[in-house]
Amino acid sequence: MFSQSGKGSEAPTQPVRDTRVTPRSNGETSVISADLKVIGDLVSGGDIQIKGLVEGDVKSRTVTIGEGAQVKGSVSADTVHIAGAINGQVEAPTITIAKTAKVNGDIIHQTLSIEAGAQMEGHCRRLETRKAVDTASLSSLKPAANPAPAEAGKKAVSGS
Amino acid sequence: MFLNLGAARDDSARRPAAGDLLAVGEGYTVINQDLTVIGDLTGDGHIEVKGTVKGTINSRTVEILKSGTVEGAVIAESAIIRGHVIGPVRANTVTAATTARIVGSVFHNVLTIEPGAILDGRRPWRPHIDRNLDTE
Repeated sequence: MFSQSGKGSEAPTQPVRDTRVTPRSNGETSVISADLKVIGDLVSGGDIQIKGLVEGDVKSRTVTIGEGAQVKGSVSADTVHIAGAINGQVEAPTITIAKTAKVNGDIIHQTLSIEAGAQMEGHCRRLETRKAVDTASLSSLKPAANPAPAEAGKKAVSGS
Repeated sequence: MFLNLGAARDDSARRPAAGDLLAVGEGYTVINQDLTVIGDLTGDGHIEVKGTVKGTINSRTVEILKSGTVEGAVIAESAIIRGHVIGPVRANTVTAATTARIVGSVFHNVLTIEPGAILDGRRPWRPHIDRNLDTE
């Protein structure tokens, strides 16, 4: 009788673990895969994961430069994670540099973290204001994002 | 009408199944709805375009989804168009889905046009299309 109790409790012991990496996108993140080469600029209001080569500027909300990835151009975003190589200026309020990263260029940040082992060449400058990236212009998704709001504001002040 | 049935089945057998592409995992590029690429994309895997690309796409397989727009050439071994392409399409296997709108020539070896697709341009047949030789 009691020996049956063991059999009954067998089912819920295995936690459901999803080991399968779904290649389909979740509708949020854009992925530049390892075999891909982009010669040109990337502009997004969402997240970009770069695993391949990008020769051009990247503007987005979140940019992740994966291990083995290479970016030749400037990166500006709200949050930038760097684990790969970058040749150019990085501008973001939050920047994380992993130990596998190779950064060759200036870093403009508010919060910066560099893991031991990261290769860095360039100046680090802290931005005081929280206007590192005009994310409002990104969400409107105009490739040639003109800094019209700032300009208009300036003109209004000078005119008065 | 009914005679075409056999031909249609044969055609679909030659067409690469969309499921095959998903198994690649690595080499799977996604250009999402909020992303605009101003430049060229060159790769050997699969490129899924839901956003905007202003430039040439060259990859083994390319899928332009319904929300996707390409202003430039689409060059691939296999291309599935569900969105808007303004420019030439060059691929051995081209599928224009119901929501497709292609303004430009479609160079193909095997072409599938689903009802509702808009193809505005020439559709030249070629015995073989090599995506590494960017001719025509």
